[in-house]
Amino acid sequence: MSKNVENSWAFYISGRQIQLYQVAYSSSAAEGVIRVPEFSSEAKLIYPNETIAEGLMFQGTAFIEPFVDIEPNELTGAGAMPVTTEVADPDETSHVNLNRMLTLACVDYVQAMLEDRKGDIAKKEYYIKEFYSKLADSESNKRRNIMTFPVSPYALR
Amino acid sequence: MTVQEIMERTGTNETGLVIAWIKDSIHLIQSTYNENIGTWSTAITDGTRDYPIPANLIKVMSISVLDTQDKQYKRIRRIVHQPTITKDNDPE
Repeated sequence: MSKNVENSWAFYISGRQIQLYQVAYSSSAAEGVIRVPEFSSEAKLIYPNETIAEGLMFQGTAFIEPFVDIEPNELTGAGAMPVTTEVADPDETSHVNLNRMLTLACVDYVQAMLEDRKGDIAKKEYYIKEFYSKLADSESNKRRNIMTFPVSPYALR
Repeated sequence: MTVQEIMERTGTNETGLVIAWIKDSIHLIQSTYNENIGTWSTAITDGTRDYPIPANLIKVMSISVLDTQDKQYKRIRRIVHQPTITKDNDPE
């Protein structure tokens, strides 16, 4: 049974793989141990010593349905949310599965690559700047930040 | 917006190339911001150290192990430095 896993397991990323270790705090496993500076001198790393079904979970960003069959940013005729299906082999009629601002950013990216191919680096830089500007706009659209600053008692108002 | 609309806006007719660049831009977006987050799980096998990172995973946000006592996935620590192997005869 695995318990206290947040303190007794650790991973190291090596290329396209992770190396999964268990931390052995007892000194009995003195033979065949792997030491790392992150842990105290008493801690030693060993290979996983138990089998856990669905035991390892990765969380991250991914290519999840980059192209879909219908427009993902428009409600259907009845005002319902669109139900999209992934298009595995995209063509000209496929829709990009991003919000409107990020799709406009994609337009800038394609434009930048076209300018790059022409050899016009100044225009490429301009479109790349527009690309990142739209990424930032899309991100700031998701949150409403309020910034407050303390006012000095002797400040001119 | 369709691929064709993007091609019209950029004034090109090379479909394959535009689709490839759109994929590149999505990759860049996913590397920069947490736009589309997914989870993948796999079995941990006794005595096996190496596990492949899922093929379509772009940015690793966390790696968790199932705590079978609490029945919860809990984030585990990342080792920054390559572990120095002093003696590795399949240690268990």
